[in-house]
Amino acid sequence: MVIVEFLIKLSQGFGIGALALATGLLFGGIARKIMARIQRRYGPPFTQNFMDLFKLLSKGSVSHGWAFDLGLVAGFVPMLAALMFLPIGPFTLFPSDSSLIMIVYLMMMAYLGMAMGVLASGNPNSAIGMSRALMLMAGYEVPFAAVIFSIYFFSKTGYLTQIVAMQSGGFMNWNIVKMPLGFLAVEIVLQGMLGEKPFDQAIAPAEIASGPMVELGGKYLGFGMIQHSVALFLETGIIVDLFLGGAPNFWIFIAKQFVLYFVVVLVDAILPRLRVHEATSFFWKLPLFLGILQAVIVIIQGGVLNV
Amino acid sequence: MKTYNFAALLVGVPLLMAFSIPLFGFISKQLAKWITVLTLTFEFLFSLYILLWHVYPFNVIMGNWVPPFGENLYIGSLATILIVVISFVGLMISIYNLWSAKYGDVVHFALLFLMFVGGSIGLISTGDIFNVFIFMEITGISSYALAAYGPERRALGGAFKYLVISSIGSTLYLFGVLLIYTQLGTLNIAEIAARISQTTPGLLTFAGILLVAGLAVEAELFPFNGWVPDTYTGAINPVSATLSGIGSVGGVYVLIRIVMTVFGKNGNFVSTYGNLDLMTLIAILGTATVVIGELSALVQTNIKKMLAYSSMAQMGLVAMAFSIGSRLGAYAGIFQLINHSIAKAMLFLILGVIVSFGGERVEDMKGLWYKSPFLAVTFTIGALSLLGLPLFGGFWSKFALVDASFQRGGWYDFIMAIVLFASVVEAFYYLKVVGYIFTSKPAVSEKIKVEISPAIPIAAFAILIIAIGIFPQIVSGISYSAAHELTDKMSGYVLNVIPTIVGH
Amino acid sequence: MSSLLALLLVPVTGSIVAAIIQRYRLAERLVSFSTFVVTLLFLIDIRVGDAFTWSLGFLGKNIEMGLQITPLSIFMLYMTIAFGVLLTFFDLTERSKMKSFLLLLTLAASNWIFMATDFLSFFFAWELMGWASILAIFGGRRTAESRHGALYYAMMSIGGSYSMLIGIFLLSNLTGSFSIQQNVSYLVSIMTVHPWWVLGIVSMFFVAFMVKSGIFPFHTWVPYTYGESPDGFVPYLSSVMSKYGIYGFLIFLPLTLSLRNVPGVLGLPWPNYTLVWFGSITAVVGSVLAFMQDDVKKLFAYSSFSNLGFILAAIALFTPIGLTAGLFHAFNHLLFNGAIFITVVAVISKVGITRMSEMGGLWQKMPLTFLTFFVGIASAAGIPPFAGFGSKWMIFQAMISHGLIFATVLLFFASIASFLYLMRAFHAIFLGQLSHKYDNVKEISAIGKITEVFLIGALIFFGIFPGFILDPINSIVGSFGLKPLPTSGYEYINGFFSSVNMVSIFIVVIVAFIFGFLLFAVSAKHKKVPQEDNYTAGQIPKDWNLTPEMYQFSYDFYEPMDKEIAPFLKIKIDGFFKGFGDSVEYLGSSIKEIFTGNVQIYTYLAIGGLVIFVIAGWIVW
Repeated sequence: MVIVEFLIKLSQGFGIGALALATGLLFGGIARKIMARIQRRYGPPFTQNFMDLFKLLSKGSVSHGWAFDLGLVAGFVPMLAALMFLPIGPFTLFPSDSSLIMIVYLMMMAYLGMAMGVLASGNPNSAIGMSRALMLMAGYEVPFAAVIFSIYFFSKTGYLTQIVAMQSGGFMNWNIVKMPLGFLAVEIVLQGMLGEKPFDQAIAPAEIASGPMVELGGKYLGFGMIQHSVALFLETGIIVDLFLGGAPNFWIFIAKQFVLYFVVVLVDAILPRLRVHEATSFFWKLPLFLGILQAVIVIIQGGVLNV
Repeated sequence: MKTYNFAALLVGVPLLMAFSIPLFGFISKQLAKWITVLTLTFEFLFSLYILLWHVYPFNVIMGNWVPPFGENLYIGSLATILIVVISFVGLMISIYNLWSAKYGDVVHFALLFLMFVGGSIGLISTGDIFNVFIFMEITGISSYALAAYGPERRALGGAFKYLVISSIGSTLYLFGVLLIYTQLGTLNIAEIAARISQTTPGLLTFAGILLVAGLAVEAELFPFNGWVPDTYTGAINPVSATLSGIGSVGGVYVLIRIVMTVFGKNGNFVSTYGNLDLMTLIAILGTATVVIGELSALVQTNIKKMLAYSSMAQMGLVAMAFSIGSRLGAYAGIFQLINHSIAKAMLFLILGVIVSFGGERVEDMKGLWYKSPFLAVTFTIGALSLLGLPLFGGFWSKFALVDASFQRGGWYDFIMAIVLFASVVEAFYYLKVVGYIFTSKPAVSEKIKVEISPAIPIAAFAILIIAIGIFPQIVSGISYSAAHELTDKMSGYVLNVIPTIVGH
Repeated sequence: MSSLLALLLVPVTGSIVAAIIQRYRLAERLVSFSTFVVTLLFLIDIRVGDAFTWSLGFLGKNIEMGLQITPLSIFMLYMTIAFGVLLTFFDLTERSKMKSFLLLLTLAASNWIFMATDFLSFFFAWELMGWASILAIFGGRRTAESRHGALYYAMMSIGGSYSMLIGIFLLSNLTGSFSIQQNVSYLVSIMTVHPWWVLGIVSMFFVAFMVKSGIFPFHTWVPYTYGESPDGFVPYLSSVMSKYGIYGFLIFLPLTLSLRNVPGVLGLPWPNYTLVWFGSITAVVGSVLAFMQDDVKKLFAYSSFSNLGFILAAIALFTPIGLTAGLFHAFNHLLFNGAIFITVVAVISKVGITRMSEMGGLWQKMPLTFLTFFVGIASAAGIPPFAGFGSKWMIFQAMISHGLIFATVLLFFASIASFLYLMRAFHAIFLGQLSHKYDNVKEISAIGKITEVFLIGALIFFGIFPGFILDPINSIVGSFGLKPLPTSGYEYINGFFSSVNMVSIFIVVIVAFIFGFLLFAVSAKHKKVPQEDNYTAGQIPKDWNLTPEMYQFSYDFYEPMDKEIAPFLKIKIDGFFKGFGDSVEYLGSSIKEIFTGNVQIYTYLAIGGLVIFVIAGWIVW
C-alpha cells in the first residue's frame, strides 16, 4: 500500500518536474523571442530552448572532477525537490508540507550545489561570477524577507496552500490588492532572483565570460539550464501563490506566471546592467523600504498575534 | 582571665636565639642558619599547638603584675592565627635561606632575620601600647639592615629610604602614644580601650591621626608608603618575601588593633571615638593605595617592582576590608592578609630562584615553563591566588571582601567598584606574566635546576594555597572568631585582659 | 557517593593525571579522552531531579551549597560532554599545543556551572572555567598573538565576572541567601514594586553572560581569541563555552514571565525586546564582519558569535516557540560549528597556515574533510534536510509571530550574510585551484576520518529526526512553566505558522538526487581534465607564467561590498575597549611617577598626608 502510494507520488512528481521544466524552457524561449522582437530581430523559434537542452545533454563534455559533477547535479536536484512542495494551481503533492521558508531554503541548497560545482572547476571567472551572485543575493533576499514577514503575519500561517486558500473568492481577496507595496517589492526582487538586467552581474557575458558558466559544457551546461528553468518556474510560482491567489487549474497558473515573467523580460530589455554594489545597495533602498512599509502596515492592521 | 605564662617563649625564644647566634656562628656558618630553622620550627609548632589545642585566648603576665599594672602579652584568636602564619612564613623563608644566604655576613643575616621574626611576633602579642613601639623599633632596625643586605648597591638606597620614612612613622606613633598617655595615664591597650571615651575629643582626634599616620608606614598605605617599591626592589628576594610576608602582617595588625580596639566605638559597624572617624580615613587610604598600587604595577617592566607595587595594593585591600567595620569585613581582612602573606612570600621566593639564573625583567620570565615547570606552575598558582581565582586561597578572601563591603552598602558600593576595577588591572599584569611564562620560547634554553631547600618552601606554600582554596574552613573558622575580637572590643579583647574593668 | 559529585571529581582527577603525564603526548590525550568517556558514562546514570547538597563553613556561617539536575542542565550536560568526547577523540592524533588538563578542568567547571544551585558555587565554577580557559588559550600557534588574545579575553571575562559578583551580592544582601532559586523568586516578588532594581541587578549578571557568549557590544574579544587559541581548543571554545552565557540568561529570563501583562513593545516586555535587539545586532555584526575576514579561524569566530546572536534573540522572546528555537539552535550550533571547526583544524594542521587566500583546491586532497565541511556549512546556512534548518526556521517564526519586523529583517540579513561568508570560506579553502605547494597534503588520519563521518551522520540524523532533540527541549520549556509546542513524532518540527515533516523532505531530496544521477549517467559521457585545462580567454597559460595561485580568485572576495559595508566598520567598539585600556595604562604610567625614588619626595608625601589629615580633623572639629 505504501509502495503504491509512493509510486503514485513518484509519478506525480515526475509529472510536476516535467511540467515545470517544460514551462520554464518555454518561457525562456518566448523571452528570447520577445527580446529579439524588441531589438528588431527575428529571433530563434520559441522551442529553441528545448532543442538546446537535448543537444547539450547528448554532447560530450569535460569534467573537473567529482566535486564538479556532484556540485552540478546538486545544483538542479534540490530545485526539483523544492518544486514538489509548491502548490501548483489546485494541485499540491504534499498538502501538509508547503512551508514557504522551507521551499526558499531548499532553493538555497541548489545555489550552494551549483556554486560548489562551478567553483570546483577552478576558473577565476566563475569565482568572480559566484561572488557577484552571492552579493546580489545579499541584496534581494532582505526585501524578500520583509515581504515574507508581512505575508506570514498577515495570513497567520506559513503554508502556501493555506495562503492560497485565504485568497480564494475573487480578485479583491488577492494579496496583491491587500498588500500592493509588498507585491511591488517582490516584483523587483524577482528581477534580481532571475538574474535579469539590470541585475545580471553574475552572468555578465561580455565582462566575465558568462561567470559561473564559463567552464560548463555539454550536459553540465544542460544541468545549469534545467536549474534556471525550474527556478524560473518556482520563483514565479511562489509569487503567484503568494500574491495572485494561486489558480484553479494549471493553465491559469502558468498564465499568471507568464504575466509576472513578461514584466521581468520587458524590464530586462530596456535597462542596462548595474555595477554589483550598486545593485545590492539598490535592493537595500527602494524594495526594502517598500517591504518594510508593507510589514509595518500589516502589523498596525493586524495587531499583535496571540502567542 | 586565663594566663599561660609559658607562651612568653613565643617572643623570648627567637630573641634569645637571635642574640646567641653569633656564638653558634663561631662554630659554623651553617649552624647559624640551622639554628634559625630550628628556632622557627619551635615557634611554628608551639603556635600551632596553641591554635589547634585551643589554648587561646590567654594572657602572659610578667611577674604577677596583673594588667593594667604590669606589662602583659595578650594572645587571642587573632594573635594566634597571625603568629602561626608569621612563624610558618618565617620557617619557610629560613629553609629557603639555607640555600640563598651564601655570600656576605651569613651569621649576622641569620641574627637579623630571627630578630625580625621575633620582633614581629612580639608586636602582635603585646598588650602594651608602648611595647608596640619597642617591637616596632626591633623589627624596624633589623629590617633596615636586612634590606641593605646583599651584593647590590640599590639595596643600600632602598634600606636608607625605608629607614627615613620609617623613623618618621615611629616618631609620629610615639607622639600619638604620648598624647594618649597624658590623657589617661596608662599604656595598657585594654585599659585605654575601655577608657578612651574619657579623653578630650580634640586631642584624641589628633592622637588618632598621628597613630594612623605613623602606623600606615609599616602597613604600606599611601601616602606613607614611598619606601615600598625601592626597598622591596633593592632587597634580596628572601628579604622582600620577609617584608611582605611578615613585616606587613605586623604593620597592618598594629594599625587595626589601635584603630579598632583602642579607638573603636562598637556599633553595627565599628567607628572610632574622636571627631574624625579613623575607619573612614583608613578606607580612603586603603582605596587610594589599591588604585595607585595596581596602576603603578601595571606599567612596570621589572617584575620585582611589579610585585612590590602589588604588595602595596594588596595591603590597601586588606586595610580597606578592615575599615568596613563589620565582623565580616574584619574576617575578610584577616583572610586576605593571610592569603596575601603566603602567596606574595612565595612569589618573591620563586623570583629569587629565577633571578639567580637570569634577570628580573618581565621579559626574563619568557619561557619559564620550558626552563622549569615547577617554578612556572607555582608562580602561576601564586599569581592566580592573588587575583582571587577559584581553587586558590585568594578566591575566598576576595569573595568575603566583596560580600562584606556590599553588606555595608552606602559609599562602600562605590569603593568596591573602584577596587574591582583595580583588580581587573591587577589581573592584566599578572596574567601577562603568566602568559610570558607559558607562551614564549626562552631566549636561552638553559634549564633552571631548583635545589631541594628552595623547593621545599615553594612547594609548601603552593600546597597551602591550594589547600585553602579547596578547604577554606582551614582559615575560615579561626578568622571569623578573630574578627570578633576586633569588632566587639569589650568582650573580644578588653574583658579578656582585665576582667574587672567597666567600659565607659 | 553521589554520581553528581562524580561529574566534578572525575574530570578533576583526570586533569591531575593529565597534568602529571603531560610530557607524554599520546598518553595525555588518551587520559583526556577516557575522562570524557567516563564522565559521559556517569552522566547516563543521572536523572532529572537528582540533587546533592553539602555545607561549607565560610563567611562565618554554614553556606548550603548544592548540585541539582534540571531538564535544562541535563540537556546542557549531554551536549557539552558528548561534544567533548568527540573532540578529544579527534584530538588523539592532532598535534596542537592544547593542554589537556586545562580542558578537563574546564569540563569540571562547566559541569558544575550547569548543576549549581547557589551563586557561590556558580561563581566559583564560573571563575574556574574562566582561568582554565585563559591558560588554555596561551598555548596558541603564534606566541605573542595568542598571549594578546588570551589577555583580551581575560580582561573581558574577568570584568564580566566581577560585574556578576556585584550582582550576586546586591542580590544576596537583599535575600540573605545564595540560593539561585530563592534569589530569583525574590526578584519575581519585587518585580512590580521595584522594576528598576531588578533591571539593575539582572543586568550586572547579563554583562558576564554577554561577555562569555560574545554578544554585542562585548563581542570584540571573540575573533582575537578564537583566532589565536590552540587549534584543538577552538572547537570547544566556540561550540561549548559560548553556551554558558546562554545557560546564564536562562536563569534570569523566567523573570520576564511576570511582566507579560505589563504593556511593552508588540506584546513583549521591554527587557525581552531589548535583549532581542542585542541578539539581532550581534547576529548582523558577526555576519558582516565575517565576510571581510581572510583568517579562517577569525572568520568562524565571527560566525560563532553571530549564531549566538540568533540564539539569544530567540530565547529572549521567552515564548514556547522562541525558547524551543533558541535551545534547538544552541544544539545545532554545537554540532555544525563543531564540524566546521574540526575540519578547519584538520586543514590547518595539514597546510600549516590560517590565511584562506593562500589555500584552495584542497577538495582534491582531502575529500572527506571537504564533504564534512560542506555538510557543516549547509547546516550552518540552514539548508534542509541538515540540522540547522529546523532551528533557524523556528527562530524566524518565533520572531515573526511577535511582529518584530526590523529585528526579523536584520536576522534574515544575517542569515543571508552567513551564506556569503560560508561560501567564501568554502571556496577559498576547498575549491578553486590547488597550489603545487600542497601536492603532498594528505587526508587526515583514520581517527579524524571516523570523527568526520560521525559528524556528517549526526548532522543528517538530527536534521531528519529533530524530535530526538525537541523532546528534551520540550521538557525544558515545560520546566519554565511555558506550554511546550505540540509534538507529533520524531520527524516533525512544529512551528508557530507551519510544521515540516523532515523525513518527507529527505525522501524527496533523495529521490530527486537519484533522478539527477540517473540523468547524469544516461546523458553523454564526459572526460576528466586536469585543473590547468581551463578557459583562459584564448591565452596560453605558459606564456604568462600562470600558476595555480595566480589563477585562484579568493583574496578580497567581496571587494565590491566594501563600500556598502564601510559605515558598519566605522563603529569601532573594539577601538573603544582598546582606547580604554590605553588610557588606563597611561594613567598608570603617570601615577607611577609618584614613586620617584627620591626619599625627600617620600618624606614630603608623608608629611603632606599628615597635614591633610590634621586639617581634615580640624575642619570636622
